[in-house]
Amino acid sequence: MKYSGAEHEETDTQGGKRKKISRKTLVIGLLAVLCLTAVVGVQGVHALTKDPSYCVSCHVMEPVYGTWSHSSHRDIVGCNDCHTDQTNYATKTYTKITSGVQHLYHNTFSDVPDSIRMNEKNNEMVQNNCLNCHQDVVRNISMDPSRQCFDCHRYTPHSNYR
Amino acid sequence: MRKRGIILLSLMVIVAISLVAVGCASSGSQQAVSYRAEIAPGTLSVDEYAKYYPKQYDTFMRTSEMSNEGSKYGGSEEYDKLVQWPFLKEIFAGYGFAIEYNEDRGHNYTLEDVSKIKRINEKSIASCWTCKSANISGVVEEMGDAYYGANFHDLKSKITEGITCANCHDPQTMKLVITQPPLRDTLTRLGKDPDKLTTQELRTMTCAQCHVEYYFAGDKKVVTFPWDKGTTPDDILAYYEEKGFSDWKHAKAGTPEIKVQHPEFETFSGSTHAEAGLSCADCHMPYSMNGGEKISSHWWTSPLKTMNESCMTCHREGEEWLKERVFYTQDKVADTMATVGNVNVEAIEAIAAADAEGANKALLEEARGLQRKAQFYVDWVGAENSMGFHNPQLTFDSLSKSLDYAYQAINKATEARTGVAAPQFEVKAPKTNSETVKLLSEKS
Repeated sequence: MKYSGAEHEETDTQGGKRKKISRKTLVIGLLAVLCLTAVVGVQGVHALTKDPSYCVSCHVMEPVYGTWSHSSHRDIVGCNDCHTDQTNYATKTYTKITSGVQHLYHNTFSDVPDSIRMNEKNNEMVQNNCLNCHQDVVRNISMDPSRQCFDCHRYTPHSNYR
Repeated sequence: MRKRGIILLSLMVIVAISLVAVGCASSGSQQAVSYRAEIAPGTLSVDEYAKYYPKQYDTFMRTSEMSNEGSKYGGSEEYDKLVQWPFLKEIFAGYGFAIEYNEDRGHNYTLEDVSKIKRINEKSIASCWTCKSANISGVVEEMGDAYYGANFHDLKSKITEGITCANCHDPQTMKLVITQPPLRDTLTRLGKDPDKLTTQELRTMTCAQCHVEYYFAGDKKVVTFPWDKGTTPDDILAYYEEKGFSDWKHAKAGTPEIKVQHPEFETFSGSTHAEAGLSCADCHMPYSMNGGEKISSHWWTSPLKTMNESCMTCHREGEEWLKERVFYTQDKVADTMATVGNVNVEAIEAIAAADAEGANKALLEEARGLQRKAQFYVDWVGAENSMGFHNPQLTFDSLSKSLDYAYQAINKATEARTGVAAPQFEVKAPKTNSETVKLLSEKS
């Protein structure tokens, strides 16, 4: 009994001329395709850029890549684990896009300084990423919010580079 | 059917995206400390805190260790500083510090050491207990300013604790807190709320409760920090000059002198390390691993004994190399202080000799004024615990001022005796390149 209505509708459609797809259906369908493309696209870009080998495909990243690859962090975390916002998928994507566009610009126009420093506005983000792993170790420490792990651990994991 | 299917699919995609975006969010919650006891307010005894914070207590008890190992000039063994620096005995003539002046031991010895030092006599005032005990804030609350000027020995029964956790911690939250009345009063007087300091400020200011220059103000002998004009040696000397304050009259020179007391906080202020955002605790209470967790070490001592934690987190160079850099500074400060100290003694002798010969009184008073300043600056360096390392530039600045004033005092004493003024060259130098260029362009 439950399906009788549906059966009736199906019969109805098959019986008549092929119905035109309504505008509403078209819009929703296109949106769905767009969303799918976006998800697949973003996921694809993440897959492409997740390895430090991608970051070092720009020459300016060689010193920080080299120092990281000789650090104890090498086998545990890559560039993205510390330098993108790990709060959730959206924030991670957002930081990757905004940083990526800036990096692309500076690398293209060759105005990269000799000493590359982390942008100070990213301090809090990197600090949170430190704590993502090391929170248990420092739970008895009441640190001033203005202070970061890497204020003292300034060679971790990049030797003379941050 | 197809329409419903598409709608359903769209909905699923949207829900999926939302879930990915929102659902993957890491909790991000800060894990609470491993343990937090609520110790009753007003608890002073270390033993009570030790029950709940055994790791910190273990490091705290290391302040009992007496060792100079690792350091070169200070250390925590008790030895006679008057032997180490013979000039001190001369510049403090007529004052307690010429009787007994020792290298200080750890916090755990405060009550023992203040009780046995020969500087304390039957007339000594209770102010001397102020930085030796956790009882003081309670005693001052009870007695008010009358505490400071009371007899030292009359207060002995009220002093049950040495320096304990309660000097710096709120027993319930363990948050850092300023408890010592002199610092609370001084900060309040200067318009700063002692209860509204940041954690990083407190990691310095809890030490500045005691490791500062102070004097006994007025008839009530209230322990007071002379910071009203600032905390540099120049500011503090200007403050004393304005007040006309003196601790004692020098036995030989007859000069009203100022005794400087361990100005560690003032010296450290403005140094490279201070400007880099470091507090006292960053080097003297380094975070150290203990059972898979970091705690702040409560073994207050020379960081030269804990270089791995204190220095090498920031400075990756080897321990020996780093230590040599510290000694490079300290050796030069020690050599310079020895020379400057001796010239200060010569200034005292010159004034005493001129006075004995019945020299010009007015000129002799001028010489005493100069000698007072010279002694203030060299005493600043001698009383400060770090042999200049807390701020090498400021230390050499003080030593050079001391040397200059000491020679001026000698010259003035000679003038008072002979009537012949020493040659003087006092032309103001332009100093900076821009000032020099400006001066040259004005001349041409």
